[in-house]
Amino acid sequence: MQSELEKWQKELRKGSTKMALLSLIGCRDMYGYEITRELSRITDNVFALTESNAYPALHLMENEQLITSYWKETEAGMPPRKYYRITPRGRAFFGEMKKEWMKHNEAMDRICQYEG
Amino acid sequence: MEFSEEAKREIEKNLSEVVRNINVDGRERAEIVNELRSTYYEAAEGEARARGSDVVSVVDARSARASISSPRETAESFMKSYADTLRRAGFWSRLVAFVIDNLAIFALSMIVMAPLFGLMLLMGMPMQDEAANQAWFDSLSLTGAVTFGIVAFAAAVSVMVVIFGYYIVLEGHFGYTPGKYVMGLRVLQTDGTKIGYKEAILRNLSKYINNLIVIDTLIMLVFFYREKQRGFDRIANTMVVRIRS
Repeated sequence: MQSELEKWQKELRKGSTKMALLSLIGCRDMYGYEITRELSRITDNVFALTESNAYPALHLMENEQLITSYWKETEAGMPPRKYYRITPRGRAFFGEMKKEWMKHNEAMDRICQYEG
Repeated sequence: MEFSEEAKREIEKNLSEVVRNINVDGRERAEIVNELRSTYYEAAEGEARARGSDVVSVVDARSARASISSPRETAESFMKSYADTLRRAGFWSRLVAFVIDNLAIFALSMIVMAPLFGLMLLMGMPMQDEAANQAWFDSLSLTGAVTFGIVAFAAAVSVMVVIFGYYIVLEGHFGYTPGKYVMGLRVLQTDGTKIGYKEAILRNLSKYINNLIVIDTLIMLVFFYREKQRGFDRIANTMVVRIRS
């Protein structure tokens, strides 16, 4: 039962990764490690994205031109960071996603409250 | 924040583990590695800060490795996401690669047989019919016959090594043969990760069994045209992809 639930949670997370990433990058330019840390922090680890999931997703989104990236030097002794920035196309797509997400949530609420 | 040399080495060790397991081209590979390097540094710095130190030690680098995804997991995940975006190679580009490879195998076989050909000329082998050759062999001294036998045996073994080793060793080790390299093709597992010797042996079996490659290719064209996999690719769980468009 537990593994069934975990499997479903994984699917759920997979389906919402793109939206979560766009939402965060939409607020300000962020680098990969910062994104995964911020996601864990603001969701109290409910939406914990591992680096192995986050980076490939970010690279795919870059290919889809939803985000762009640039390298930036930081403090001395540290390697440069790769920052991600949302594109106008990404912003528009996120707007659409958010609307659909709200609609979906509302529909699911109604389904769960249905009593026959 | 200062990093100890040992900590830096530990981080590079993790990175090389990722690099070993990803099979993407130079620029893209450098981009992935640089981004991961920055992540490992950030995570290790965080660990050092958490224990109140301003020097990042190897212990911090190891804790960082434990706190973020393992290098292998990261590499696999990258390759899985790439696998979805890669275009599978079809019949024609693979046929051209196959022809190039067979020419290369022929040339290599000629090279390894050169000492034998040289010896045959040097020892005055008639090279006409079998009877003449037999008579020539019988006329050789014991030393001559033994020398000829050893060289002929070595040449035969070398040709076998070339023929059997070419596809299996090159694909198993690099993921491509010279023919595939020229055509911009790579052999990957269907999940996008590198293939090993086991996959290389399995997928190339049909090339070594009498004309089976023709049937195997027909299987691809008729049954797995969309997947672009030969029957033995299906068995080995491999695919051939284009890395250049």
